[in-house]
Amino acid sequence: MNEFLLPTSISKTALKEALVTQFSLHEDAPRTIQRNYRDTFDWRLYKKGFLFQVDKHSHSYELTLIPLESGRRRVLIMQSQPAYMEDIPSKIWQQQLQGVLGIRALMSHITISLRQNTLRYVDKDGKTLSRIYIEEARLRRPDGRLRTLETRIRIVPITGYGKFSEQISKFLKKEFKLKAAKQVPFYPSAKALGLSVNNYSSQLSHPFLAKDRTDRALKALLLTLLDTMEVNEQGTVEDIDSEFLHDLRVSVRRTRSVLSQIKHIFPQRNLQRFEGGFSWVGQITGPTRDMHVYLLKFDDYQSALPKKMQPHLLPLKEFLIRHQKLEHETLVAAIKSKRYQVLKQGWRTFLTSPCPEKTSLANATKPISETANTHIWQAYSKLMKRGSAITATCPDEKLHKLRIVAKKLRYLLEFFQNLYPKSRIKPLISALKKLQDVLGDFQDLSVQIDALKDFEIQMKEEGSLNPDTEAAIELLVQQLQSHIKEQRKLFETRFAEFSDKNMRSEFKFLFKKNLLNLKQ
Amino acid sequence: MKVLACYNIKGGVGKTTTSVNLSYICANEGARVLVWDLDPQGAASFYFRIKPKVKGGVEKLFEKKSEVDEAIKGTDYLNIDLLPADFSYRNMDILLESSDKPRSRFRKILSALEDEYDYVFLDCPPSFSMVSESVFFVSDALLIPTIPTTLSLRTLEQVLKYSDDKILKKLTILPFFSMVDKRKNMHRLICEKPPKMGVKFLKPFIPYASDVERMGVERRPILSYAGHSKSAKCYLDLWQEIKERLDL
Ligand SMILES: Nc1ncnc2c1ncn2[C@@H]1O[C@H](COP(=O)(O)OP(=O)(O)O)[C@@H](O)[C@H]1O
Ligand SMILES: [Mg+2]
Repeated sequence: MNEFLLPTSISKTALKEALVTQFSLHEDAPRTIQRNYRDTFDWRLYKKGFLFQVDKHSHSYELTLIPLESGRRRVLIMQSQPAYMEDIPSKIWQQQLQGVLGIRALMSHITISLRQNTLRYVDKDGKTLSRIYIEEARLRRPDGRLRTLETRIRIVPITGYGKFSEQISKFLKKEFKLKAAKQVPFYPSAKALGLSVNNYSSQLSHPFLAKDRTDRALKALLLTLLDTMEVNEQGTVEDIDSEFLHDLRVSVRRTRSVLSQIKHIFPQRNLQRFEGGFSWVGQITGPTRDMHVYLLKFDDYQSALPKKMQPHLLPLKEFLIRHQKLEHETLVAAIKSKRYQVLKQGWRTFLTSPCPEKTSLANATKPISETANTHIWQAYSKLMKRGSAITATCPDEKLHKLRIVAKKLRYLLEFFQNLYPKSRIKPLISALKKLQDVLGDFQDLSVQIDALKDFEIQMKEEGSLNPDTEAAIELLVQQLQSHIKEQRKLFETRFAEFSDKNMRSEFKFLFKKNLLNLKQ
Repeated sequence: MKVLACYNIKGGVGKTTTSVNLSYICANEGARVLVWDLDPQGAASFYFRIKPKVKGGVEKLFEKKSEVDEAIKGTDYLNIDLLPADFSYRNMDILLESSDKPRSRFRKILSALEDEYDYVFLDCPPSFSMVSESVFFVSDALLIPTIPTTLSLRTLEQVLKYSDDKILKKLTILPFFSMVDKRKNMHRLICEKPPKMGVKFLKPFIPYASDVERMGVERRPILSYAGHSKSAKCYLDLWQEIKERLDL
């Protein structure tokens, strides 16, 4: 493709006239296009090497998947703007995007208004041999103001007829001394908006120096968590997809985990109101998250039922959507409330204020590596002790408690992973993750069973439960109950794997030995 | 990449019309489509307003991939390219016969395009030859437009007999009625109760209609000028069922 920038010294009309005189061109009616560069919030398509461009014409949307490096573009016309992969009515596109978008929605990152003139080089049979687009573009800023971008001339060759486009390009270069534009308008637009692609990841990877003072290091970590929380607020409020709220909640939980596990770092009187505050944030975000979770699970629920029964579950989906909307309204009000704003401001002020040079707090000035080792080793020992005590007959409650112990260890490992060699800490995290998965599934299943029973009661009260739907939910509950038994059996195997000799010595080496070395 | 061939031993039954219209519908669904106009008469090329010409002819085409890439032309439509017809295609038979592995030779051309297209439509010449044999070999499905007359059904029987070959296990045979004139008694009877021949006819059929015929004047797929017509709807339905039958 040949692309040029039109300097302001040359008028569009002059350019068009020169072209029409030189070549056998047909001019199409000019079009106004809203061009969107869409991607997930965390740029999943871009990271896989694609730009996703959506042109809104008067009655349709033209979707183009543009490979960043090389390869063919994919184009599809559809009647509505797709938000999720499932909205794109093409199996081939879905296959291509499978596993890339996941459950994230496509959102607009860049919006450009285009006025497009099209000239086509046409032969005597009426066949188009080359297309020339003259595009005047205005970039929409977040505050609604428009910024005029340079006018572009795109000469799009048609396979097998490249020489005609070449002729046109040559002519433009010679006649108007036009400069080639190297990039698609995406890049200058992103630059003008100050967008940085690739800047978000829900994975925590905080850089620490081993000898950093614990209070300073933790403030920095907590500040990162606060930033993540804030970055996800907008998407949560707009309900773009469920991951915003999810990531926001994870940051809150991680924050609370730091505060509750690592003591005597900050003055207790300062912390109390924040602990209370974040626990409140956990509560106000919970109900919407629950509805998201069940809506995400809905398709699996449905396909777990016999085909004939599947449509009967739909009232449950409607119920969930209805309640998700209601809960979301409450959530938005809470996020916009004074209480929430004051909490965050106070927290930021606390985190950005310098730590006192001298302090009577026992652990505040210890090197962060010592704090990390101590707490990880403690949490690990606790997990091993409680885990070994689990027997085939002990109450479910014990497993639920163990899940929380495991989660605490996981958070600690993730917070401090950069203090340890990557090759040694990663295998520990993934082994723990496997153990957590069984514990999580086990817990999740019993929560789901309770929730489904709850929904049933609520639906009955609302008058939206018919006997067929009731039967479908009952069957679903039975199925989940049988899975629970399987998960419990699986725990033994997973825990044995996690506590095998190599693992134990690895934990010991990384956390306990280091600890002793430090103390000496 | 799925290869769909529009085939019939008889000419003038709607093969080319079907290739052009279905490829257009398929491309509109976001698939990248290649139409290979195998008929030296070049009717599909004509509809796409592309000269029925391959530089160096069929011999060059069989030489190497870059020659195939050279020959491919972009149509005026989104996602559709054409490998045009060429007068030399009338010698394709002889060329294939002289090769020790004619079928593989033919297949190689398509394999080279595997990454570039999702669908290839083969618009076949009306004959029974090494070319058609190779087409059967490389295709996933044969779309067989059939005029609902006793004579046409007999030709269909011949095709079925031939394509029953063991190597063609993966080939799905999809006959459907084409150029149906409901005013004709025989057409109506045959369409309503297709004879049992061991294959299932596609349910939608293409009526004999003036807006289909107009394609020759318009030189465009019917959906691009009469998108809301009854005939357009028939092609859409036909494509829908083809996808269902092939699990696409
Ligand atoms: N359904 C139809 N109604 C009316 N005319 C048709 C129909 N299908 C095809 N034709 C016309 O019949 C002629 C032969 O059709 P074509 O598709 O070229 O057949 P084939 O490729 O089998 O030789 C063409 O002139 C075409 O316009
Ligand atoms: Mg034909």
